[in-house]
Amino acid sequence: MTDARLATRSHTPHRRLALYSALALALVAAVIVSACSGQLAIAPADVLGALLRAAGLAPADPTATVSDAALWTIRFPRIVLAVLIGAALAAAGTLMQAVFGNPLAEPSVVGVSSGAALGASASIVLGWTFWGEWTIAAAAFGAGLAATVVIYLASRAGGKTEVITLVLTGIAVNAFAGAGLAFLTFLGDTGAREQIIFWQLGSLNGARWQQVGVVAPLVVAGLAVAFLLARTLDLFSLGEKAARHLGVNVEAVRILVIVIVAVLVCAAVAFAGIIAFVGLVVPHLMRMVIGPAHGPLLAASVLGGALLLLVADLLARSLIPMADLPIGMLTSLVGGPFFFWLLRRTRLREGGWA
Amino acid sequence: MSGPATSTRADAAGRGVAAIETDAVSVVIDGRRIVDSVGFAAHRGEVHALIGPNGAGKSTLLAALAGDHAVSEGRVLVGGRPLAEWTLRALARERSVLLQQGTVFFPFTVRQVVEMGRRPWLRTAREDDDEAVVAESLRVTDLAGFGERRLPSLSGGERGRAAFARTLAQEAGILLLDEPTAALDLGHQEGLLQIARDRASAGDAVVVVLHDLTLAAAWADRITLLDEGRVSATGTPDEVLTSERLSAVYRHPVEVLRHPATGAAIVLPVRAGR
Repeated sequence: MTDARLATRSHTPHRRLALYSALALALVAAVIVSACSGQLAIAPADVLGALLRAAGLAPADPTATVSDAALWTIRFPRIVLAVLIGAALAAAGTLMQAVFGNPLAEPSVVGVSSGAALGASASIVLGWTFWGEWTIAAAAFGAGLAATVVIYLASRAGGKTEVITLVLTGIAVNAFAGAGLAFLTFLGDTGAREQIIFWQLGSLNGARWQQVGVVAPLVVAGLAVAFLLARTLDLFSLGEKAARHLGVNVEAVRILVIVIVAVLVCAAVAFAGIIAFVGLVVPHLMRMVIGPAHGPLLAASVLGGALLLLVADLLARSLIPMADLPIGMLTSLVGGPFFFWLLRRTRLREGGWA
Repeated sequence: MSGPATSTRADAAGRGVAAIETDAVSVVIDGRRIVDSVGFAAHRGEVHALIGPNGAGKSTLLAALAGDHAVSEGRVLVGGRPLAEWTLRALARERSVLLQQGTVFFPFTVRQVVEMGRRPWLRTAREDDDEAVVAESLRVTDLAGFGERRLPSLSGGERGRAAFARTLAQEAGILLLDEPTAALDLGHQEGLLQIARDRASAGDAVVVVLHDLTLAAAWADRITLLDEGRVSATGTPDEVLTSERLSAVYRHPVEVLRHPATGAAIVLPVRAGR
C-alpha cells in the first residue's frame, strides 16, 4: 500500500503532453550540443549554417568547408544513428515487456542482443557478403529472431512469464551466444577479432550514412507496426485468455511483436553492437510518469530512448579527451544497478517472483 | 427473485433457442475426464448457476464454454453455431467472460481497465457509446469514484469489481462468470448478483459459478449441479437443492431450510452441537 498515494494521481493528457514536449526539447538540445562538441569545436550558428547550406538555403561559405565536412561526414551520421538506435532499443523493450507481461523483459537482459551480435559477428568472420551493406543486418536479424523465439518458448508457462524463468533463460541464451562469440573470436583473424570485441562493447564510432541507410528503414518500419499494435498490447496486460475473450488474436499479435522486436534489435546491433539496458530503463521511467497505456508509452519511450542514447554517446566521446569510450559500457554501468533495483522492487512488491 | 414468474418470462422470450449450450461435452486433461458428457444449456432471460464441490468440473466446463479449453468430445454452441465457426471478434461481441484469476500486469487505472472491455466495438457505430457505457459500468459496480485509481492501490474485492465492470462494459448478450463473488463482501455479493439478475431480465443469458448455495438459491433461475464431471441435476433451485441430493454430492450432511418470508432455500451444512 506504500504506492497508494502515488497511485491515486491520475495521468492526464496534460501530463503526457508535458512529457513529450520536455523530451522533444531535450532531444533538440542534445542534437545541437552533440553537433557542436568534439575534437573540432563548432559554434551552434555554424551547425545551423551547415544545415542551411546543404539544403541550398544559404550561400556557400568557403571558410566553413572544414566544419561542414566534419559535421556531414562524421557527426551528423553519428547523431542520426544514435537517435535511431536509441528509439529502436527503447521501443523493443516496451514491446517485449508488453508481450511477456513483465517489466524486466529487455533485449540485452534476455539475450536477444547477444544473439543478434552473434549473427553479425558470424557474417564478418565467415566473410558473408551476399546482400552487400545489408548482409550484417540480415545475419543479425536471423540470429536475433532465433534467440527471441527460443527465449519466448523457454520462459513462458500458463500465459505469463515468471521473472525468475525469464532471467534464467536470459543467462542461458547469453551464455550460449557468448560461447559462439568466443568461438568466432578464436576462429577469426586479427581484424575480425577487433570487430567482434567492438560488437560486444557497443560503439557508434565510425558511423556512416550507408549504415544509416540500412538502419533507418528497419527502425521506421518496426516502429510503424509497433504503434499500430499499441492499443492491442494494453489488452495483453489482462492475461492472454482475457485478451482472447475480448477478440484479440493473441497468437498472431505475439508472433508479429516477436518479429518486430527482432527487426528493431538487429537494426540497433548491426552497426553499433550490444548497447544494453536502454530498453529496460527508458520504458520503466516513462511508465512511472505517464502510466502503462502502450500508445503514449511507446511514443515517450521512442523519444526518451533517442535522447538517452544521444546523451550517452556524447559522454562516450567527450568524457576522456581524445578517446572514444564504448557506449555499451556506459549504458551497462548505469543500467546494471538500475536492473538490480528494479528486480528487488518487483520482488518486494509482488511478494515473490511474480 | 427466482420462481415461476421468471420462468414464464423466459418462456415468452423463446426458450428452446439456447444462448450457449453443450451437447455431451467431455474435457480430458492428462487422461482424467474432468468434464464427462455434460449437456448444458443457458437461455436468454435466465441466471444459470453452476454449483458443485471442489473438482466437480465447474470451472473447466465454464472454460469450455468460453473457448479457453478445447473439448475432447462433443460441441459447444453459441447462438446455435459451433464455437469453431465464430471469429474471435464476433464472439467477443456475443459473450463476455470473467475469470477467477484477474491479475493485471501493469498499473492501469480502473477506468482504463474497464475501457478495455469496449475493445470488441472498436471502429463500429457502438464505439460512440464507449464513454457512457464505461461510466455506467463503473457506477453499477460501485466504483464511480475509483476511475482514476490504479489497480495496485485497490483491495482484492475492488479489483474483482473492476474486472466485473470490464465484463459488463463489453455489452455481450452472454455473461460467463467464474466465481465472481469469491473476494466480495456480503453487500457487494448481493450487488453483483442483482446486476446479473438485471442483465438477465433485460434479455441476457448469465452463467455463473457459485460456491454459496444459498446465494445460488436466491438469485438463479436454473441451477446445474455437477459431481465428478457429470451433471447430477439441473432445474429450478427448488428442484435441484434438496437435502438428500446435496448431502450425497457434497459428501457431508446438508439441510435445506426455507426463508420464513420469501420461501427461498437456505442451505446449511449439518453441524454437530458444540
